[in-house]
Amino acid sequence: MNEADRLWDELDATYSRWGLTEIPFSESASTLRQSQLREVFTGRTQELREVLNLFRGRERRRLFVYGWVGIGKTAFILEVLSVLRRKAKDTLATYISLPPETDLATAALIALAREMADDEWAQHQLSQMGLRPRKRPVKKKGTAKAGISNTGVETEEETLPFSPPQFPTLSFEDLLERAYKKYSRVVIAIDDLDKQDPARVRELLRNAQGMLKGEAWFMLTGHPSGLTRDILTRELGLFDLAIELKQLDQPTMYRMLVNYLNSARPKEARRDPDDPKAVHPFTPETARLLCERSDGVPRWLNRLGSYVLLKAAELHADEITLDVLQKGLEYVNQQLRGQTGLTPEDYYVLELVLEKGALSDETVALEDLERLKVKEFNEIMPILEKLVQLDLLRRLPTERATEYAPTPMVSGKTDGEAKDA
Amino acid sequence: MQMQQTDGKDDLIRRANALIAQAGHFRRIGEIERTLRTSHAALELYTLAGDQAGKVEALNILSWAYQLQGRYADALAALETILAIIRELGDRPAEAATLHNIANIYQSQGRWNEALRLYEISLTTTQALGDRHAESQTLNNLGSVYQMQGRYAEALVALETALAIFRELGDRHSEAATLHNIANIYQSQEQWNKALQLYEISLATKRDLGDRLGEAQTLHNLGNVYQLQGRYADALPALEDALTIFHELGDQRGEAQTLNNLGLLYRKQGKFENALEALSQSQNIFATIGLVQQVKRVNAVYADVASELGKQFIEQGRWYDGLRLLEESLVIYRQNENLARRADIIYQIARTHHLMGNFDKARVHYRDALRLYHHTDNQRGIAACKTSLGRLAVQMGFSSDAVQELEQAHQIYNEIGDAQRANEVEEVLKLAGRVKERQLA
Repeated sequence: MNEADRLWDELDATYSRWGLTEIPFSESASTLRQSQLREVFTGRTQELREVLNLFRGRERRRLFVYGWVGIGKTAFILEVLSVLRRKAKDTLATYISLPPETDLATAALIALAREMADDEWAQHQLSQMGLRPRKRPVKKKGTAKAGISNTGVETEEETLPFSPPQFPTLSFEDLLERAYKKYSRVVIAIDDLDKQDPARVRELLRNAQGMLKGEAWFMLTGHPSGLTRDILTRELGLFDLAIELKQLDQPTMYRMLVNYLNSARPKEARRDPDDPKAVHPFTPETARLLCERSDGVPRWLNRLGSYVLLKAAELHADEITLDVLQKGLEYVNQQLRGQTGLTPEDYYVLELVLEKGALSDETVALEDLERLKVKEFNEIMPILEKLVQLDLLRRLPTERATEYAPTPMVSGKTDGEAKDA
Repeated sequence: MQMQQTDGKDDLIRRANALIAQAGHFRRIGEIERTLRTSHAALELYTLAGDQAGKVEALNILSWAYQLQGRYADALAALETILAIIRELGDRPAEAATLHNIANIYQSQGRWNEALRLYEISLTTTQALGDRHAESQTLNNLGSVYQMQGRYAEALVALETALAIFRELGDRHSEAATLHNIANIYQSQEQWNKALQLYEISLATKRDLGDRLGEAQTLHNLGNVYQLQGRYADALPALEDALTIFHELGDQRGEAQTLNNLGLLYRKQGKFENALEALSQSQNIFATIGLVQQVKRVNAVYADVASELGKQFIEQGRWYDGLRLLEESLVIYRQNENLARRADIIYQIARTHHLMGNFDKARVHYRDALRLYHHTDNQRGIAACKTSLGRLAVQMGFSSDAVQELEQAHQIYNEIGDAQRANEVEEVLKLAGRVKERQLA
């Protein structure tokens, strides 16, 4: 047996002792299969009730789901769409993460066309945009092959030329009309508006007013910063309902951990949170500490859970004791700080936030900014937002300032550095 | 065999001479691209034939064309090659002329002291050799450098001397150029009528001689004088004509400079969009020919115009267009150390976001502006930011914060004696106080 085989078997043995087939955690709900999401989705009962209640009505609605990065907006809307697909008759429900540099009409057109796999015109639209059609449109060429039996028409594929939609809103409306010939309701979820600058999002929304107020139902997700308030209060009453997703409480986080672990158990599920084995290989104590460290943010639970299990596997730990958890948390810190794509400027900003404990537009001094070779807080905001996306920082929920602090997963020094110091 | 080689060499030189004659013609009529092509072809033939004198002639014409295109490094390289050849040949008049030409490049680059030093060496040599034409050309250029240094009296003496010699020698071409330079001094001294009179004479002579490049240069300056006099209707055609000629002749530096001045003219006329277009083209050309200082200068004007137009758009309710321009100008202000201007633009951006209801962005920008106003000790700016932050806090329901900001603004306006603003803030303070009371109730 070679070394790699031996290691693989060793890991197999560890996961087997834990009663898991794989690491069940995932950083983004959009990467989960529908069945997996159903298994791990936890909490949000009140919010789901509010949204699903709207879908019992006939009138078309526009919903806005908002909350901080990692709070579970994607999982929430995917869960809603999943319910609609399974339970609501004649409903076409589709999802898209807003691609960069794309207007909302084009995004909606892509989402809708992808869901209408049998509609040739829809697939042609995708193909024209350079996107892979669900069923490839094919040009047929009749080429009689004289003298050869059993041949009639030979089909040749031709690549269709790329051209973005010239009139995305009109193309979307045309496609929607075709969709309504088969369905009685079309729901389009456009996710990740918060990955764009709020001013740009407002412009996108303003340009898409006609479409949003048209024939389809829309669900959009975004940040709770200035954008949300403005959209709700000023932007022409664009949304019928705005749902804020807040941090989950500790018992819900604990249940979520149980659900995630169970989703990777090959044998019988242990779903009772009072059953200590439900969180194995964690102990109830380390499971609780992990949930506390996650601070009610599902993505952080996933990040922490994933890295802690990886570290525990490396240590051949049978159980995640306090000591193993501690080592796992240090590993999380190292991994987060060592993510690819971080530039020296990003590190300077991160170090400043770690040094100060929190950094805001209100309290930052010009001297602090000059250390970063800038003179405006506004100039470092793109970096701060990037660090939020990478779970190194979080935006604090205050409306008095734009304030950032390290996430509970990050500390000032990595383990190695701490030892050196 | 020997005979064939000689024949071949003579043939090369003959062909090169024909090309040089053409290049000289193109140079006289200001056709820069064609001058470059023909003189370059001549240079290759002279090099093949090993004709050093011919090479010098071709390189001289080439360096002139390079200079006009703003390709100063190429021009200097050509002149350094010439200098090496003529020093080897011991040709002192040519050496003086070359030093004069190198000085001319330095002059174009704004390296005044280096230019002066070389002109003075060249002048001493030409005077010693009794070459009056070369002497007067150097005096003419010396005069221009003195002018750039603000040494107007010395400049006038040098130029008047040069003018007298050119007239004596009957060189109308140089006479027109010198009149242009004297007019330039009057322009610097704001003696508009004298300047205009001489420019007109220079222009007529240049037109008479078919000197299109000179014509464009004088039209450009005429346009500037009209602009300075507020005669915008006269300035526009002069600058437009100059631009057309510079463009036709391929004189990129002249084109960029004229576009810059057209931009300034449009700005004065309140035609901000035209101004931005002209300034943008000017920057691009200056950048292409590597004139970094000019790019920076035009860029600074562009930022000012963009912010003025931005403010205008915002007043008209074109918020997104206005914001785009203000942000464009902020990017430029960030590149220089003018913190006062930068703070003002950030404040304008904040105000626009405030109007648009982007409260978060407004607050961040107000606070950025506030920090810079504190840094530059701009009390009025500090008070304006605090007033706006106070208003914002009222709108967001943070009445205690609002009262605190507004009280500070009120105090500053009182201290700097701006009663009107103090009263305005007082009104907002009353409102904030009422909101606070309601919240406490």
